[in-house]
Amino acid sequence: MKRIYTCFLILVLLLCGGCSYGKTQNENASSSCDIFAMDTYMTLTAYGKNSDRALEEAENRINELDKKLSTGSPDSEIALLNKNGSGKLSDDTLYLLDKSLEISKETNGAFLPTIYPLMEAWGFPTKDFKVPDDSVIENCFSLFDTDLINENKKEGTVSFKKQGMKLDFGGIAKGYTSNEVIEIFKKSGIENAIINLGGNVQTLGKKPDGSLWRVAIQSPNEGDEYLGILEISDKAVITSGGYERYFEENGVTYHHIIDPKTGYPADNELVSVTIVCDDGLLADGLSTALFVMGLDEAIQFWQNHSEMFDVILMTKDNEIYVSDGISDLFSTTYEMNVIER
Amino acid sequence: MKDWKDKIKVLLNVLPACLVVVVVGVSLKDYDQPVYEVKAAKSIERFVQTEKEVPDNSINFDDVEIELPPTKASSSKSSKATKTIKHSKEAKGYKNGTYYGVGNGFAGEIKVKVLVKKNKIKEIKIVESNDGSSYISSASSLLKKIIKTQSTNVDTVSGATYSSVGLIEAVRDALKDAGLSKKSNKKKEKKSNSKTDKNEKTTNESDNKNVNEKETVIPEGKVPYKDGVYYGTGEGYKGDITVAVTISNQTIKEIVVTNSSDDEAFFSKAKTLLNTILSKQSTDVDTVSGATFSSRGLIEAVNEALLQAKKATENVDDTPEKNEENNPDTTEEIRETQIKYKDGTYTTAVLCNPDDDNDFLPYTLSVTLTIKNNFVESISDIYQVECEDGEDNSWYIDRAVNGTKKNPGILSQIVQKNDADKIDAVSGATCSSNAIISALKELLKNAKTDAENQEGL
Repeated sequence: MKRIYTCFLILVLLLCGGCSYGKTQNENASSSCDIFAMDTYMTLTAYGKNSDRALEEAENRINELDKKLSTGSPDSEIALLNKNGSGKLSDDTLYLLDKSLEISKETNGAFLPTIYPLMEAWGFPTKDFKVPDDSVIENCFSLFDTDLINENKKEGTVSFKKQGMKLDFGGIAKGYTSNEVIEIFKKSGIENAIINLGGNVQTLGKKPDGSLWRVAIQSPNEGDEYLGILEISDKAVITSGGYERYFEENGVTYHHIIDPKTGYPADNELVSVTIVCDDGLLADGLSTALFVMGLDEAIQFWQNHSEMFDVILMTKDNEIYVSDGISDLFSTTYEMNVIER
Repeated sequence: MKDWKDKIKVLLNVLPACLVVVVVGVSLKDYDQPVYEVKAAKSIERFVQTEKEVPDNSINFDDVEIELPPTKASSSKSSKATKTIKHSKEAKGYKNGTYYGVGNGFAGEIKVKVLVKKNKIKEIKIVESNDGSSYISSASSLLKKIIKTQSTNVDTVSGATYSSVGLIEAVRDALKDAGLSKKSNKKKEKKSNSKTDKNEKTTNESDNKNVNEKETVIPEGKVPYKDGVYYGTGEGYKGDITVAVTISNQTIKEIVVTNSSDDEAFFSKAKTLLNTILSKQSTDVDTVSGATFSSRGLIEAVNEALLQAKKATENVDDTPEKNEENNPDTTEEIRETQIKYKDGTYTTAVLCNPDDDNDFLPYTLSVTLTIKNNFVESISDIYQVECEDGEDNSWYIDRAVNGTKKNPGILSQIVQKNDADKIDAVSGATCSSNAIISALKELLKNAKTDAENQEGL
């Protein structure tokens, strides 16, 4: 059966040429598309007769969101708000603001949408990396208070009560985007799809052959095999680790997940956090938050919210902790501990 | 690395002595051998094999300890002298599937097929053996015991000890990668072998009771294709990715990326994927969470190479569906009917406008065209002159010029067709393609006009 599937996959891969749309499609058709957006690589694959059209629509939506949410491009809504201290936001951006404040509150500030000035101080957005002075970090701390964000829901405007405050939805933008893409697929009648937005995976239904999607989790150890494989349907699988974006200075490695409480890259037992959840946006936000929390706090957080999501944690000692809900679906060659509810 | 070699040297010195002991052992085979001999023989085997395996892999395995299970069939004759078999620590359940394994019987290899259903050993069949049938039939009674106890820690059958040991080895070999991960701690062992304690660990290895649980980096015998090197191409973000896949003994031995425009970061991540393919002997993963790199092109390339291997195995000829456009006959035909252009180099700049989606800001693109002997010889110096927001569009430009696996680039099309009207845009870079095509139209028009003017004079 496996071989039949592989052959099918090869056939499918040979038949679909990149992002070419508009062919007539039958029930068994599939389409794949690679795009570069939100500063990362994205791959979308959908099965079914409307897959071409659905992918085209999804690609347009991704580009639309990229334009609105990119802190990097000077004329995006979010960049203008950060520059002027006030501005009118679209429904998408307002929704992300509300959601990020919600997650921030729930995680006790481990996820923080107002962290952007500190990210700039570290040079992550511009890739002009530097370790900031303590005084600079101190100053950034004073810009974190989310209560200083003034939101006028009627007008759709947002302003900051303190100069220098900046918002960044980078921590949930890809998760929100993958939710949106899956919504578009559902509306187009697509029943099986898998998307990967720069490492953020979200699946719709199962594989066309009825089996579960096999999602590998990247190992933080370079050149190693995957840390494990998760078999899943209808879920987002989002992994955060300090191994993708980092820089080195004087022999010390600084990664991009900054702990809002210390102002420095999160430094605890955890090297990788994967969140498995229906909601891509929540998964995206929580993967960062739990990474910052550290092992014990992350386990406790899951135990208090076990109905919302599942989690795969990896520690510096190469031990893996998997929450009860998915332990039967996850296979690994590492030492595995099951986190009970 | 040096220590490792030294160890081999030391062992090589011990080797002749061991062989003598082993030969004596064989001649006195009715006597129980002292256990240390077996250990010595095993550890030599291990080193000999490790040494053999390493240079075969061009992927850098320096950081990965290559461990081969002692149960694996080997060319070393000494293992034949093994009469006792140690208990092995086992997984409490196995992944469903059919597994094959090899052990050393009295007269050579014994191959078995193990069927696992509902995570339990359901059936064991002897696929191949050269041992005498009476020995095999009495030894095979232990297979029932294995199924009953769900363990290979069973007693050998007296009077058929060699065949028994061979069978047990073969079953263990078959199940070595089938253990359910929850109960397994083999990776931890592997992981904890940091470079510093590696040597210590290796020395102690022959005493390690869990030896049978050690992992092979490359398991054997899962790819039913003919030996050979097969090539496959997939579409990466920055162009095509070509891989060479070496299959030997039904095993994917080596995968080398032979051509890719991607950068070093790509290769370091590709290594992860390739190591996984080698260890799993399959590309059976749909995607990777947490990797900001597309594995699709690489998986596609490996799958295509495996398809080539399959074809070679089945003796099926390559289907000539691809590369029709590269057919030299049609190219010639087109060339003959071409209008004439004046030789020379022409340069122009055009505006690249976004389509309805407004995905990017308009930018100016410079294109240079060279005509020689009335034909388009090349297009070159295609670059972005300026853009309002300073965005870098070189990825799209490169895609439009050089094309992808499925869509020929403008460069190859114009050289072939010699006519800008007949060029297709490259999907995924439509706007850049159209801008370059319109530039070429303008340039060819100039070249044509020049030619007519010349004739007119």
